[in-house]
Amino acid sequence: MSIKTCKFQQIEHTADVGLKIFGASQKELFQNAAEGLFSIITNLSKVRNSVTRELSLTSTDTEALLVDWLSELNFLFLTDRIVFNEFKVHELNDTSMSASICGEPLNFSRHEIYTEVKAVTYHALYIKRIQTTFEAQVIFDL
Amino acid sequence: MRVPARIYATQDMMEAIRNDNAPQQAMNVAHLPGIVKYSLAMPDIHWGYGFPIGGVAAFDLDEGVISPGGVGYDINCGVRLMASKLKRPEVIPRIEKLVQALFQSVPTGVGSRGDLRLNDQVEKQVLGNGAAWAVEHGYGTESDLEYIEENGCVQAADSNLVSQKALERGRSQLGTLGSGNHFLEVGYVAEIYDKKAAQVLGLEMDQVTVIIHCGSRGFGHQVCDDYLRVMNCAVEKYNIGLPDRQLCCAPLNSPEGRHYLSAMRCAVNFAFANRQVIASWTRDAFEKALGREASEIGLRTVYEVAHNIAKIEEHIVDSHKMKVCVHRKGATRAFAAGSQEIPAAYREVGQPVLIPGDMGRYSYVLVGSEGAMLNTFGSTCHGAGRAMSRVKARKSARGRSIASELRAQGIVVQASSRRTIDEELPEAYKDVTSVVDTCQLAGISKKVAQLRPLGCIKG
Repeated sequence: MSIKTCKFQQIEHTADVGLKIFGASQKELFQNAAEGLFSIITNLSKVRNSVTRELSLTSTDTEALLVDWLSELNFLFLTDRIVFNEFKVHELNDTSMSASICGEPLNFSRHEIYTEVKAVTYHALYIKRIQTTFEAQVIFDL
Repeated sequence: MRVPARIYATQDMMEAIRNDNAPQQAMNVAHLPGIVKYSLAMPDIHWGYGFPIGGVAAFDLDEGVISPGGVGYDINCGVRLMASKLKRPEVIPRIEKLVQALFQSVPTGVGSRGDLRLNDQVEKQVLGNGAAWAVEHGYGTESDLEYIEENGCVQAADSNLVSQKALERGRSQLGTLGSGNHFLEVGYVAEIYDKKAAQVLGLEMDQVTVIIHCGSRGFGHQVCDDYLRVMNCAVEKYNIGLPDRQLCCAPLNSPEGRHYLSAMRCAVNFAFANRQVIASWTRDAFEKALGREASEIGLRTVYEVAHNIAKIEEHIVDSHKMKVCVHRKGATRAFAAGSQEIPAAYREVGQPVLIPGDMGRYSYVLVGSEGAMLNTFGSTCHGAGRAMSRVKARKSARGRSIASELRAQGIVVQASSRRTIDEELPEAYKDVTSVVDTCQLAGISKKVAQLRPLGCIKG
């Protein structure tokens, strides 16, 4: 699978699971990471768009911002019970970002929930630039 | 390294342990300021975030640190054992119905919500009072509390030190099992190794039992997450040199350290209350499915242990009594006979230790021993540990029906998602027998009884 066509790959990790994420830009990297997170949680092809939320986040650095972004999405899923499948990052710099996210309220008759993500960890976390593209790795505690 | 790392394992186990990089993690822990005697690892040691799972580390209260990574995300994940007056033949004909009733009574699965909806004020009462809150509100009885580690409530939990996010995550999750390796299992006593201890704990052959394995749910996960951020800053503030960023910590006597301890205690109490509510619903499900009175079923709490926790305890260090902060991450307290912390009824045999295995094989009841008091800050193992990653387990389950395979062995399993059953298939776990046998061999706990499963609900 080439980097151009692959948004993310699930990677095996002891008792948990991780993602290797790819993007043509940092914004795309963040969008793909969000999609990767929800693909661990459910089958995204079954999710419709009926709810939109706007998010703004600040953090200490880009890697921490990626963890905070994914943590916030997981928090919204667990507390507001909304499954998200579309992510549009509007602004992104080293320490802050804004985005619109779309999805629909969790409906057990259509959404099979695979697993619960307890937390997004800092373990083996990285974001790196490879020529003109970006790659990141995140491990989730399940 | 400030102290040596000591791993309890047989030669056969060491190869797998080495492959997992867990010994390096045990060595990393040995670098932390104020660590006392050893960085310890139990035979079920495996890789964890920062601290290994199966790790035990005690810290000096003045010089030492406290670390959220030494407790884990699922604060006060633990195990309750209940024993009934019923014998296996009385339950087998109704096991399908019983498992179904349990599945209906106890919410399982991702983000599962219980019937309980707490507002902030009530949730804070739960955080302060633990299992006692549940008993006051009609979930179980006072006598349950006597048979829970810390009587189901640790003091000095300060709910002002937990975030609004943690409160929100916990709000609808009291009385829920959650997902992953958490479960509720109906089983029976299949073997007795120590007749006297079994008698004292009220366990006899073929007796029907229940094991509840779960923790503090999203509330505890959020507390850990919140304080990892605090500790990342504290490491710089207090200039603590770490071999791994995930060992982030703060001095026990710093504001950050004290705040984490108080917030963690809130999660400890949340988990105690959670298991108490689930225990009560378990009793209801037994009555409903078996059509018998509670007094005939007699489902009493044998004991409940915490296996992800940090506690201030007094231990003998170099022939002197010393107060230390013991971190147990995937390790169980195993106090010896005579300890005042043990219920009076069990004091002559030692504290019950509950070691769950996988869905298909067996679990164990042990008791703590003098060896644990001398060598491991009164600690022993906590479980089997995974042998396969979840992805590998799913591959191994492909084309098979794990539920049907278990049914053929007389074990009825019901779960929110088929994927959970696949990921939790028995061979995904190591054989827990080798873990408990090693603990017995090392003298840090003694085998009392083996329990085998009849039915199980999972997330």
